[in-house]
Amino acid sequence: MKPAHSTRPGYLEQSPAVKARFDKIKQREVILEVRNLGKRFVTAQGEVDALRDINFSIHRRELVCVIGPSGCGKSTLIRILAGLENHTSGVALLDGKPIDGPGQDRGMVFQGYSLFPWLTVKKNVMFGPEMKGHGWEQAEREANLWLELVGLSKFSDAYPHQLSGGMRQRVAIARALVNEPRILLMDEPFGALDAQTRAKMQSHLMEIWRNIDVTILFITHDLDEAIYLADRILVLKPNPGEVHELIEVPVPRPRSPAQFSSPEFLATKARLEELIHPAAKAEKNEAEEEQNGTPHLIRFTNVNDNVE
Amino acid sequence: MSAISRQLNKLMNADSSIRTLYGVASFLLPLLIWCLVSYTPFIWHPKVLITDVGGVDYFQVGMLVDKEMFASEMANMSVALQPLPAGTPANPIYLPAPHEVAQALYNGFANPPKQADTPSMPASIWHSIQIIFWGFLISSVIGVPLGIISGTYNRVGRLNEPFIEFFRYLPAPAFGALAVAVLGIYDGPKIAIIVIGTLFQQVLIIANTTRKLETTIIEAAKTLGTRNFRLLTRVVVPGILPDLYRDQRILLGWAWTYLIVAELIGTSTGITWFITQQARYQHFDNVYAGIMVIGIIGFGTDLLLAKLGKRLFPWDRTQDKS
Repeated sequence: MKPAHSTRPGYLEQSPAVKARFDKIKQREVILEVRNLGKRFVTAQGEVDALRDINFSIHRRELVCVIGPSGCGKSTLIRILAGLENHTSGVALLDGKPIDGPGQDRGMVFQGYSLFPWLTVKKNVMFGPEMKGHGWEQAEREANLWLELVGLSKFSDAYPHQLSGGMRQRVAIARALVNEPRILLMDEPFGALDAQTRAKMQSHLMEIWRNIDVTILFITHDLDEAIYLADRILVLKPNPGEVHELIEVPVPRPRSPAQFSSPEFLATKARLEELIHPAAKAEKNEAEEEQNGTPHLIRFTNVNDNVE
Repeated sequence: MSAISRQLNKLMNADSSIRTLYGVASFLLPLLIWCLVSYTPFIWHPKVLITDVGGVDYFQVGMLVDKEMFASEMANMSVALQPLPAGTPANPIYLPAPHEVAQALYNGFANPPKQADTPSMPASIWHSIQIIFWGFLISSVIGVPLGIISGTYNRVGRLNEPFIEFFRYLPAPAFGALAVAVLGIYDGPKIAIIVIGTLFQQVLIIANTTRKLETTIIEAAKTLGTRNFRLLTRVVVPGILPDLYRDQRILLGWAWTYLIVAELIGTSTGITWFITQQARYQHFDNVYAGIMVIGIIGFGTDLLLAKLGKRLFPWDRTQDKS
C-alpha cells in the first residue's frame, strides 16, 4: 500500500480501472431519483418514521444493493418504489416522472414465491405482455425468449409447484423482465434459497444484467452478496430508517467468487460490518445476554451416558 | 427429475391404495355390527316371531310378541296342558335386516309401489334432486360473487358481513310458515328454505377463503400491470378457485341436510314424502332404503366432485394432503 493512501480507509481506494468505470456510470442518465423520501406510520404507540430523508439516485445499467439491519425500512423503500406502498414525504422519480402506484415500468421480484400457481411457467411469463394488451402469439413469443434466457425452456409447461426454489425465482425474474422494465426491483430474492443455489443465482443474475439493458435495485441482508453483486451499496440504519452511507464498491469487474478474499472485498466488508454491527452495540448486546443469563440445563440422561 | 417423480408417484399410489382399504373398512365395520345384531339370534332379538300359535287364542302366525310375554304364555300353556306355541327370536319391526333393506332398495327401483297413494322411489328422488339443484344454484348465484367481492374489497365486506353473521343464526326452518305464505305450498318454499340455509354461510365462507389468498400474489400481479376488475377476474378468482370449489362441495352437503325439513313444508314431496308414507305403512325396510339413497347420492356426488376437482385443478397441492 502506498503511504499516500494509508490515511484513507481501504474501501475508499479505487484502482484506476474501477474509478474509470464509476466515472462512466455517472455519465449515464439517471433512471431513478429519490429525494427526501420519508414514510411515517401511525401506530398505537404514536408516529413512527420508517424512512426519513432518503436521498440517492441510480444511473442506467447500474446495480445497486440496499443493505441494513432488520427494521431499517429497506423493504418499505423498495415497496414504495414498486408503488405498493405510499410515501408520506419527498419524491421518487423514475425517468423524471413521480412514482404513483405500481406499473410495468418497474419489475419486482419478491422473496416469497409470488408466481401464479394456477398458471404454467410459460403462462406466468406471458401474464405481463397479456396485461399490456399483446396478443397471445406475441406474448408467447416473448415468454419463450425470456424462458430461454433464464434457461427454463424445458419447463415451460410445468406448474410452479413442480419447480425447485431457484427455478421459481428464475421464472419470477423472467416474468418481471419480459415487460422490459426501466428498473428491476428485487426484494431479498435469494433469501429463501440454500447457499449453493444462492451462489448460482447470483452469477446467473449478473449474467443477465451484463446482457440486458436493465438497472437493478437489489435488497439483501447478506454482506457478501451485496459486495459481490453491487456497483454501489446503499447502507441504511434503523429507527428511523436513514441513509448511513452510499458505498462505491472497489472490487473490479467482471466479478468472480475468487474475489471474496481480495483486499478490496475484505476492506468493503469490514466497513459494512462496522456500519451495520457497531462495536459498542455488540458489546451492549453481549452484556444484555450476560444479564439474562445462559439457560440453565438440567441433565435428563444417565450420568454415565456421555456423548463427548 | 422424472425418476424422482415416478418414485414419488409409486409411493403415493401405495399410500392411496391403503387409504382406499381403510375407506372400505370404515363402511364394512358398521355393516358388520348391523349384520351381527340382525343375524345372531342371541344378540338382542327382544321379540319372538310366532310360527305356531299352539293353544294361545290371540296369537297369530307372523305376529311379533315380546320375549317375556311369549315365555309367560309358554308357561301358561304347559300348566293348562295345551299345545305349546312356537316361535323364533326376532328384532323389532323398526330394525330390518341388511338383506331386507337391500331387497327394498332393489324393489324401489325395479318395481312400482304396491299402494296407489305412495310415490315411487325414483320419482321421489328425482324431485328431491331438483329441489336441491335449484336451491343450491340460486344460493350460489348470489353467494359466490358476493363472497368473493366481500373478501376482496374490505368495505363491501364490512358493510354486509355483520348482518349476514346475525342472519345465519336464524334457523332456516323457522322461515317455513313465512315461505309458504309468500311462495305457496309447492316447490317454492322448499327451495327457499334451502337457499336460506345455505346462502348466508356461503357468503361468509367464501369471503374468508378469498381473504386467505396470498397478498404477494396480488402484489405481483399489480407490478405486472393488472388493475381493478382484471385483478379480480385474472388473479383473485383463479387464485382461490380450488378452495372455492372445496367450499362449494361442503356447502352442497349442508344443502342436503336442509332437504328433509324443506320438503315437509307445504305439501310434503320428494324423498321425504316417500319416507313418511312408507313409515306410515310400517314398511321400515323402505324407510331405511329411502334414507340410504339420500346418503348414497350425497356421498356419491361429493366423491365425483372430488375426482373432478383433481382433474380441473392440477396445480392444487392442498388436495394431495387430504
